[in-house]
Amino acid sequence: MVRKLIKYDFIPLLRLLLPAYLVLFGVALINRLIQLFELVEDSSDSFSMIYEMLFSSSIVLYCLGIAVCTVMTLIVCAIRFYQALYSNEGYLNNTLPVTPSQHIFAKLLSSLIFCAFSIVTIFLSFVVLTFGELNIEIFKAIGYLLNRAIVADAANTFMFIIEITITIIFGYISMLLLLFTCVSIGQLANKRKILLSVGVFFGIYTIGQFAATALFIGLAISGYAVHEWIENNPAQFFHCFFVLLFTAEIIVSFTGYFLSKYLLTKKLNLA
Amino acid sequence: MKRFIKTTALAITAVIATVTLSSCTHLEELKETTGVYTDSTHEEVIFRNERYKRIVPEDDYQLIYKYNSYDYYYPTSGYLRDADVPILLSEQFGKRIGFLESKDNKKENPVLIMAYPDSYYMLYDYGDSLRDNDYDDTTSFYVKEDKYDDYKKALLEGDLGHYYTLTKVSMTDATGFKYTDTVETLIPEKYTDIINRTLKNDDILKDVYNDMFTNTLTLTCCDENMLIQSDYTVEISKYNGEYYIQKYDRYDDSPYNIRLHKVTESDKAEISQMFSEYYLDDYDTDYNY
Repeated sequence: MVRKLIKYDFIPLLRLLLPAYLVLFGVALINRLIQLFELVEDSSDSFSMIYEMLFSSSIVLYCLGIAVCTVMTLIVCAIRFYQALYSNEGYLNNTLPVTPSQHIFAKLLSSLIFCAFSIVTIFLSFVVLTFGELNIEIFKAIGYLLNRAIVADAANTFMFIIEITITIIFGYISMLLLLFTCVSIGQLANKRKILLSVGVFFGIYTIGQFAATALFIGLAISGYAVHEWIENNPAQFFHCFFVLLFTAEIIVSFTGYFLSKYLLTKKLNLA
Repeated sequence: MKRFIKTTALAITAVIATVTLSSCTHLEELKETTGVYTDSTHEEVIFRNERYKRIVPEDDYQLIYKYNSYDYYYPTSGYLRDADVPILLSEQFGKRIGFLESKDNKKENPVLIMAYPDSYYMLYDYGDSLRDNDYDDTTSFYVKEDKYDDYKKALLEGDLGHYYTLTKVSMTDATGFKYTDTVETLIPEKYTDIINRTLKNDDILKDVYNDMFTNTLTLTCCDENMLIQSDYTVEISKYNGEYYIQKYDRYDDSPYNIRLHKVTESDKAEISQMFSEYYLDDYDTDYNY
């Protein structure tokens, strides 16, 4: 049943997100075509100014495109969660022989798939942007740096790769579950549900920022011994950092999951 | 049929796009300024598809070179990297180099002209790379393979009884910009003989004090092909209508070791002629000893 839920979530998400991904590809391709007119040695000042303007603008557009692609994926997934469970469509979905956990799990899984799609899209758009020999050289450079890191300290390098991967995956999971929670809290209101959801999100986000800032300030004023330890053991410090981050993500994920499940089970408001 | 034409047109467009989209100016610029070591000994380098061999000047001899300081059209520095280092990381893991000019001392081209990048270049690398600083490393030079034997021979057997001085010359760079530069010019044989003869005589000026000479022509000892030079400098100075020549090691000799040999009456006219031909009021640019 969960598989069917994912399948029926897939098509609306694809319909909404595919244009954004295609636009990103388009911007990358336009930028690559602009690069064909890259400065030659005897080009005139006016031509070089026009080229610089076009190139800079297209690069800014591309960066914006990446940001939009990433954020849009998360927002569209949250909107899809709301539409599927708390809007008119919710009347049907909540009567299906599926537990709230399964609903949340299905939405989470389909959202994660599209988050992965967005990452792949950004990667492929970068390949388009740097298509040619430059692309090959970039990957050669990355491979060389990675090789040097492994040769210098294989254990720490592999641990960092694993930690970063896990952090990114659980980062997406925690963000999605947080968004689901905000949507679930928002649906409690009779009017302006989306506004409440947005407000809750910003509230939670602000509290998170305060907590992180307090932590960093605490670290900054922690004293000479701590600073010395960080300076002498940078790898261990970053391992601790990632573990802490992962722990925070787990806490947010579980809290979000259980809260969403509770609200979906006990406080469903389809009015 | 329509579908076939459409597919073919798309395929051709894709191929053309692939070819045209493959260029990158930044990468081409890097290739122009980056050389690759042929092996781990770093004795040979491939730069712009030409082989360069390492040459180490003797302690007392230096290669004659100068920076391409006025012709900004062409790059003046780059990097040398090992073959396994990607070209994009040349700056981070390569060794910094400068592109120098040296003189093509053929008789029909006695004056140095700002060289184009495809002509006669030497490379040198600094001792402090951006990786780990190797404080035991020294500056080294790489000479084009076809000129290597000339330099090697000059270092081993070169007769440094010739002299060069700096003369002004008008240059035009690749963009058409005109400027004045100083170039190394070999002193003709007749003057060289007079200088060498004068330095052997015993007519030494006794009372020497600071600022007594109003005009001084400075020469540097070099080989006949102007490939290498020594630490010795020769100065021809004018005082009270007479000419005096001294030779000293510009790094070792103190002011108290000056021996000013007086030019004989028979050679005075020639030296006066030489002075008027080569004396410069000021120097326009840097040159390297």
